[in-house]
Amino acid sequence: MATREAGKKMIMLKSPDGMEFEVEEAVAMESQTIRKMIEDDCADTAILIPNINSKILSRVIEYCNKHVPTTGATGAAASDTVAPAALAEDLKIWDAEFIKVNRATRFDLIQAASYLNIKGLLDLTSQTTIDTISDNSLEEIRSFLSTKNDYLPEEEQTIRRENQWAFQ
Amino acid sequence: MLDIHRSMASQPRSPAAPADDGANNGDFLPADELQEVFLRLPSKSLARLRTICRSWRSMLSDPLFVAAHATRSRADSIFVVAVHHPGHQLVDINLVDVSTGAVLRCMDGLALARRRFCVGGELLCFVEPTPGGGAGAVQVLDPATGATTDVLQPGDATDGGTMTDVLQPGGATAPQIHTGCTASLYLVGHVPTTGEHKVLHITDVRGKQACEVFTIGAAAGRNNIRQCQRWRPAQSPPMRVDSIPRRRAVVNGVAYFLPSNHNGRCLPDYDSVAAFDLEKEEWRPAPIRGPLSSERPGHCDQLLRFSLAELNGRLIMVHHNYQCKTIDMYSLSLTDTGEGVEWSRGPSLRLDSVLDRNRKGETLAQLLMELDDGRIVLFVPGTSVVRVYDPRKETRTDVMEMPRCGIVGCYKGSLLPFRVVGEAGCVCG
Repeated sequence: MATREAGKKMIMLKSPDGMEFEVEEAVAMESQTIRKMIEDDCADTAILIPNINSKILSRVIEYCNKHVPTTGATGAAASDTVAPAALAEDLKIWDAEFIKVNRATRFDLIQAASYLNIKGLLDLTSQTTIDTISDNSLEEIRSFLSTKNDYLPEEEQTIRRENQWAFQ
Repeated sequence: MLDIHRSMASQPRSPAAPADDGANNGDFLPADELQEVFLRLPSKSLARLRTICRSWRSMLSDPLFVAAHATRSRADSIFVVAVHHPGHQLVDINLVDVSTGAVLRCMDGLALARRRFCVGGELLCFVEPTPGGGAGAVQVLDPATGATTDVLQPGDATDGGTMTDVLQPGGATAPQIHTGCTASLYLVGHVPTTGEHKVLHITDVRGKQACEVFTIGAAAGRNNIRQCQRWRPAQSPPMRVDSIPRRRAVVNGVAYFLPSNHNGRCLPDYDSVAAFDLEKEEWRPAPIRGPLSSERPGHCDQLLRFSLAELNGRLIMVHHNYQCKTIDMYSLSLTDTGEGVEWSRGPSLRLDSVLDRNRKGETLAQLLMELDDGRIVLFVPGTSVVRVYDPRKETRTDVMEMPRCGIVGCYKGSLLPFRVVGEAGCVCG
């Protein structure tokens, strides 16, 4: 199903809910997982991305479109007159907008980024979680990540003693 | 239609995150992705997170995770400081975060003055000299718990110690060797090809330097500490090597040394480098010609203006060039066969921007490491200051001042414990 359009090779990505996305090969190759498949020559037909629904997949493609290094595909953002520093600044603002999503979507995006191995997106989506983990109390972390304390009280004391240095 | 599943190795998921092949419901972050997040956190946060719940603890104590974290994360760039207590024969060992000077771990009263403390690669260890001057018992220190593990018992070390043989030819009584102030040096290096660490001991035996080597198994003695092994003799170096710490460095499994200071005289081989291959346990037959002496044959210079450092996996010769008021750096590259050598001129730092010349004692800087952003961490022995220097902006930030302290070395391992006590109280994983 891969087609050519204006000299650019296209790749078809399919989500499990049946949606198809035609993307430039360069954009799809932002994902190391897909890049490997293309390089291994096993992606001449459509690629099914089984764990990622169309809503999340479209956002991932949006991210890759924006971050693909070539200027052509990103359109308005990249122009010859824009200095690299300004471009980086623009990307930062775009990223900050992009990540303004609810927790469920963010977790889905982390999962997708990890699955597709897109380092930039993984860094971006994990950052909020990293900040939460770094700055908050254990109780707050538990509630943020929906984890329950399943230690017995005396057990918790032991574990805490073992890792005492981290609380100093 | 190609299924992406087939080309990806799927890892088993922890009970905390129910396996869920569709999109997740937003309440859980599955284990694989949680792990991605964890890999981006410093050790201190991770140790704290162990107390969250059982499954996190087992994930964060998994040796595979700990190893992945150690290689991935430079969040744990650490140097090791020993604080001496004069009169008490005790030494505290502190692990300090390089860029901020924050003390991450404080291990008080650990070392007895007799024991020698060494740091290298991912290993912290003690060596106890035998009364004869040879190397004896070896202990590995776990930086997370402060616990030490014997890898070589004192008894095992003395009855068959190799240096004892050297010292006692034909069973004669061992000559008294002064261990305190002689050029007896201990060095630990990581051997990348085997994953092992080796301890090298160089000491004076009747006016000649003798060497012995001890291997500590792969994974830094975490679980597979090999018992029943001994110090092995090695060749003598091709020249007398210096025991001053800033005049040696370990890079990529090779220990490099500058020549010993012959009573402060100027010498023509002032920047020669002797190289000991830790894997093969042999010296390069001849010293490597230094960058300056090869350009200016016949010239003599002060030995102590030269020092060695490891920056980003390269050997750097550091020259305090007081005439030009610069600190010049030269980086060594070896050809593939390891036979040919080439020095390339690196950046020069302005002496007055690196050192605070208004402060008494600031004459010399010891380079410790280079941070990801290009800033250089250095130690000024004269004022006991640890400083972060930005070469581009020529600015310096002092992160720590520590009288009575010595920088022992840089630790590249993780601060997560090596051993985890399992639920049944056994030592596992």
